[in-house]
Amino acid sequence: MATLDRPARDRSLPTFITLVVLAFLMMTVDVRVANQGLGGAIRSGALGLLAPLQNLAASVIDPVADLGDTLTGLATLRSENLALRQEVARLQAELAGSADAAARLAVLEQLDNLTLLDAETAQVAANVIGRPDPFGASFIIDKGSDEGVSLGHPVVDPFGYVVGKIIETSPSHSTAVPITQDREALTVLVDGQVGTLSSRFGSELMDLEVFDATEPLNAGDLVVTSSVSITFPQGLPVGEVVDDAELEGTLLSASVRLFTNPDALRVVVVITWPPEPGTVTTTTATTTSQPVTTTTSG
Amino acid sequence: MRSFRPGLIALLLALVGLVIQATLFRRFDWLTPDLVVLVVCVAALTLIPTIELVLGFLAGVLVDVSIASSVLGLRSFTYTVVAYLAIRSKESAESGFLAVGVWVAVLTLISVVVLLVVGITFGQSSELGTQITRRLLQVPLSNLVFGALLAIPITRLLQRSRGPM
Repeated sequence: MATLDRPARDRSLPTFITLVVLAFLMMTVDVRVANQGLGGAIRSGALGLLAPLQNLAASVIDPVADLGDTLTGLATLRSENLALRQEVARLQAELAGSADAAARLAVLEQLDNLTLLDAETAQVAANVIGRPDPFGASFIIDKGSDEGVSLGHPVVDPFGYVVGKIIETSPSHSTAVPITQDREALTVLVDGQVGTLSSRFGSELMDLEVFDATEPLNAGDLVVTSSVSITFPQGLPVGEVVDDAELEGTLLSASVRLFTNPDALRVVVVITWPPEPGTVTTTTATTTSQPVTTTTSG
Repeated sequence: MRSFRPGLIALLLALVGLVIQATLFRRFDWLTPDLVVLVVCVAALTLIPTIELVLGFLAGVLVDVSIASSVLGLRSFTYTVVAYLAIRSKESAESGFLAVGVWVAVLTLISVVVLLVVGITFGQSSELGTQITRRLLQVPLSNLVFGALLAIPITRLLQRSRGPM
């Protein structure tokens, strides 16, 4: 392969040093301003330009790739179908068993006069249309501020398991980062104890730490978002404890495996939470009547 | 202006590479090329060194702004280093398409290591993915294959875009 370089004076080293210094300056400034100001505006503009291209490419590629997946998956469909039938039977039995628990919960909610978010009006379903980095797991979705998606809104998968949060929005698209790659820890509740869940470098597992622990944890213990969390509504399932964890004084450390795999998501749900004052419908249970729908004011 | 045209086309190819890897290759867990690095490496075979360096820098900016969670300048730094190394070592790639593939794979591995080291230095460790060990091998190997396949077409395209000398 012949090169076409001109026999001119080689200025590559000074150019290289200049660009490296410029890149370092950009990194330093961006870290200091934490994605505010010009950096944030550039990113938002770039998302607005790149996302439609990715949307277009996805609309061409996805149907072809889906067809390929279907053809390659035909051999396993029968056994999967059988397994799913068994799973449906098991879930139906479980559902029948939980009817009594649901009735009891309704009574308890009435007793406590609870105010719950109306899930139907506070969710935006979105397609995952792009994942620009082969290393990172942040992804672009096809819903943006025009549909009510804002910075910091929680993202869950179609089963309601916690995925991450929105970190960038444009009118028609947004970027989400999974909690496995979030620099901020998540406040969670496990076995009645409040702890923090933080990402672990290079791992799909996350680190759980409970500082005022009173009870040890067992493998399989459910981890849900806490009411103390300012990022997620309470009670969303996050994952489960991997191994038994013993108390070390009042400290408890454990590994947690997420219920969802952020790398494999095709569709997500953005929860428009916390609600804008006066705009979100809530369902209020009272002690004297059926649940009624009201609108918060101011 | 004529000397800038191949650089602009290479930047356009990097953009196309970014869109393809964000859409098509997100579906495959086992095939994860970094097409932007690939374009930056292969363009070094054709472009004037200063333009190649600017291409590396701008391609990095492109990836940085498209990944909202990444610190601005991280990929710019990484791809500029890759572009410089590509300029200094391009003779290694001139003995055939397999040699290009290996050369691209080695430069990709260097880019991953630089990204890792600088990323950790700037507090980006949590944003470098959950399968970094696997990706350390997967991305260079994927780029080996795609480098061997795409190096000649990309080189010819960039040479042709320069027009008659």
